[in-house]
Amino acid sequence: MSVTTATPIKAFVLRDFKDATTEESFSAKDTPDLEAGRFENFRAAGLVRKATAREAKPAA
Amino acid sequence: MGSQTAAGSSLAISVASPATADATGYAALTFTDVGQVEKLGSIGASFAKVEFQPLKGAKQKFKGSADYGALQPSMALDSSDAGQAIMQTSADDESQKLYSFRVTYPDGAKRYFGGRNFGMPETADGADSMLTGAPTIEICTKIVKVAAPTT
Repeated sequence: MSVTTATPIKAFVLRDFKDATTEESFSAKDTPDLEAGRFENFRAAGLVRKATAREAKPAA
Repeated sequence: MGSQTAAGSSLAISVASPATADATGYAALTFTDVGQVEKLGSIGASFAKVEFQPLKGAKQKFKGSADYGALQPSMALDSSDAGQAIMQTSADDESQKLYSFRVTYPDGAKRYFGGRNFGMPETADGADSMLTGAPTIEICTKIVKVAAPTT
């Protein structure tokens, strides 16, 4: 598998975690835009999943 | 840069494999740093020794099969660290999937390779010690060495 696309993916954070690469912290239920390779790393570890269309919508 | 200490070295992991097993292929991947690493351990290939002792003359020695070795880092366990979570995923993976690894030295030199994590045992030692994890990453591809950038 090769992940090279730069298209960001809207993720849904499943639990609190931090990324030592960027020192960025994520909280459960956040919906950050993640670069595809970064998303795949986090998804494989069970930290995020793709956000549903409803979750991806900004809060009104 | 000449000699340097290990301080500032880092280990990173990616679930993806490079399109080409060279510096360009690995550089295109997105790696996640593994946090709280205490030691990285040894990295590098070694060759089996093939010996032949003729009846007449000294023992002859030949280089046999290459073994790319194993990286055995140790780290303070941190359940909130993404890199450690990916490392644990690679340890639990029962398939033969290759994960990509990147070791970065303080001067910016890099070592890339593909490997399989054969386990990440946790150690709870004495009261005055940290809970640690010690994965064994068997290196399964040739190690790609990238020199430190020139300044």
